[in-house]
Amino acid sequence: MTNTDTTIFDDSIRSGYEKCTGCGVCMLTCPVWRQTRDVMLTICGRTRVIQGGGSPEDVRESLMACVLCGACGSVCPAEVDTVGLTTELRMCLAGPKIPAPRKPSSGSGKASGKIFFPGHAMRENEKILKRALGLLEQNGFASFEDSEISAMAAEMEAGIRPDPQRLKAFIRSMSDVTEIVAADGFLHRHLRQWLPGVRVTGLGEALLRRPDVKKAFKNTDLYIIEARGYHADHVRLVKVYDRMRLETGCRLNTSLQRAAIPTGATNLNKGSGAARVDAEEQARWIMDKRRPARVVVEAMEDLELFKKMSGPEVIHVSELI
Amino acid sequence: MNTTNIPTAETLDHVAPDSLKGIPRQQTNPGRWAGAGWDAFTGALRSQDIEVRETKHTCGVYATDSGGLAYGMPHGVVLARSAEQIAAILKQAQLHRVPVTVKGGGLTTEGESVAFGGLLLDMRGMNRVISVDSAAMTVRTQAGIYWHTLAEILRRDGLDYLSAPLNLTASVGGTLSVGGIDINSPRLGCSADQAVSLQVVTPTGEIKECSESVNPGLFERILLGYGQFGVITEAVMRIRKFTPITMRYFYYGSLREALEDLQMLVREDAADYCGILTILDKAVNLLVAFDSDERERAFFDKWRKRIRGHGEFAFALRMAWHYAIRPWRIGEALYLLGRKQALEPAFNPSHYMENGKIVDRAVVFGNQVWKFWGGKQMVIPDLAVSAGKYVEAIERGNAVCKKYFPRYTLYCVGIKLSRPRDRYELSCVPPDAVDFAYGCEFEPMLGDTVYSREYLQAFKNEIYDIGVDMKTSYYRFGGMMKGYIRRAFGDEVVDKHLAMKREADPAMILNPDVIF
Repeated sequence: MTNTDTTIFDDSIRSGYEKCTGCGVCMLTCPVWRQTRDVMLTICGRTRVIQGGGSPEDVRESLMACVLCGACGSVCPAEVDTVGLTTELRMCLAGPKIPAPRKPSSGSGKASGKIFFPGHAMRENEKILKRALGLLEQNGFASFEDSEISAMAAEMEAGIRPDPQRLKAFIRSMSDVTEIVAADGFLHRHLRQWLPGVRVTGLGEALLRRPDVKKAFKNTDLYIIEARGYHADHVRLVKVYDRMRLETGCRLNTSLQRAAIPTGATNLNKGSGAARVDAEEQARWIMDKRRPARVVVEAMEDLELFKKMSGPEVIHVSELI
Repeated sequence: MNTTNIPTAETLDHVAPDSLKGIPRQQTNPGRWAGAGWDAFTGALRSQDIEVRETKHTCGVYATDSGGLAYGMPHGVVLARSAEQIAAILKQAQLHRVPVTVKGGGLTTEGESVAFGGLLLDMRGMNRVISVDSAAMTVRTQAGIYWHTLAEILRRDGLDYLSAPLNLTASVGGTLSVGGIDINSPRLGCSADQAVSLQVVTPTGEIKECSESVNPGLFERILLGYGQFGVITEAVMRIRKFTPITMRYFYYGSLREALEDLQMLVREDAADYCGILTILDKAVNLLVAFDSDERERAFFDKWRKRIRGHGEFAFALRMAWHYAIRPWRIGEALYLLGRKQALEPAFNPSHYMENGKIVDRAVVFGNQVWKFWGGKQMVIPDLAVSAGKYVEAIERGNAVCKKYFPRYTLYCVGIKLSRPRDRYELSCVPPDAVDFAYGCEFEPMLGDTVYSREYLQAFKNEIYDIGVDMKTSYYRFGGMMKGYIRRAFGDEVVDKHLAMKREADPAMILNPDVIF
């Protein structure tokens, strides 16, 4: 192995890959596979290379192509932590990775109780932020200045290991927090890992707990689940969203595997040379043969994406009421 | 043959070259092709803008199949992109005598889709649906597509394929080349019989359409042909409307009774789906399923009283009594209970159930196959037999399983045969089968126990021996059965097929070491 951080690519990562049996079920849900038909660009191919003694550099192209949607992990019979391993391996790569992530802030204050991380994309849309926050405030949530954790998440996605001091400071600042609603699904798995006593949910799930939001659905709606957060807690959420589907009659962007078909729009590498998933193509596949009267989305990036496509009205889940 | 050299059960070395009772067996790992002409071959391909991947890591990805016992490295890999590209490859392969191994889902278990040198052609690069004709109820698809992906696309139109292996990552082309068995095969036959027409690239690089009316000879050779006579690049398949299904389970304390009832249900077309899964010898599960309430009602009116299986509650009482008077078998009872508690929710997940019916049963079953029976080594030798030999073959196989493993599962199904067809000759369909064939997979539960490759291969060989003795066939008979086919099918049939192969593939480069 050359030019990589050998202290990080340790046996625990390699043993995580050893669990893989090579069944290939992961590929059935993988957007990179769907668009490229190239096993080498999927977790299945990466795993085979690592199992064969390869280094992260040997799978650089594949690592950077991944959109970290986590659909593969949600269907893996061997329960391999696909997103965790991919993120770890990205951090082992040397040199330039994904174009510069968002700039870190100078830190954030102490929080307590129930807080809301709107995320970078929502902060840029004042109207939606106000609506979402308004609804969450009624349920006791307070907005939190989350640019620090957003920046850290972006860096991790880009393959930059978070600074331990910064991370420690963040964890300390969360010591009195009981529940977090995070719009950025990529954060969910990490928040659960860093803050084990804190309940972490996505914005969609949090709003769907409100009867008035659920009531506002029509059976002609197509609901676009934010894939990263959904797959990070798939065993539980597959039942939550299935119940919601049965209660409201709306359709979901789920596959036969009950994984969420990701658009990849939240992916940091979109538009870069590393990207292999065209979000618009994914959106076209989600809409294929479907004629919804309205598209309701959880992720801000998906709001922009579906609005670009000619077709039905597109709204954010916070705009339902 | 000098019969004095045939080893006895006591002296048999199960992994020796002659381990199939005196039949020279092709070893799991054949010798690697030496590579003569490879550079000229790849040079010719690259001059036609065909990408050949030769890095160690790329080739390593294709080093084994689902069986996980055979390992081999190709010299290079090509992702299939079009029939024209494959035609160009095969023309050059004939010219330079480079072996070409074709891989779809790679679900072979004896190394049939492993390249021992030469070129590995990954057909999964061709996995798009070309058109769906909901009036004619057919789909035209590229052959490298996974059945699951095909189902995903058909479902947008409320449609489904007819039958496919209960495995999510089997490819259409690979399945049509070997058969394809589902729990609806007693009614609909094997997947290969659902094909309406094919686009094929012959071993000499010609692109041909074939069907029962166009190039019928080629059509019959390609279906169930183990990839010997061409590469399937596109297939037109019959499809149907999608329906959720109702599953019913009946439990038996006797494998023989369950097998006899299965055969009766198959013969009389009593259910839309049926098959047997065993947990223990004395805990055998016969499942039946229905596409419609009418079919289910008819089953309960006409056939329920004729089968000897118990409902779940009655069987639980029976088992409780059985183990109450045999307390020393508590371990077995706990295994049974644990298995039931694990399998029941897994096969009936709430988010796949609607109004008491299971939606996407192929997904549910396919996932559980990998979860409960999957692993780096898929050890699933099988036998495909005619009706009269079924019970004896399964009971003999069951005894072999018992000898090698503490826990195992048998998966038994019926397969409807259409009228006699050339495609059935020298295939997984036993030569003496009429109207129906029957299959059984013998699946040890390996769990976390590590078995040597020799031990696993020895087990498989003992199952295969039963077929040799009883003159049956095998669903997965490629790989190591070169010697077997002459004994099972006779020199005349094998020589006929060998002559056809030599004519179609003069350099014998396409999928070597599978049959010939």
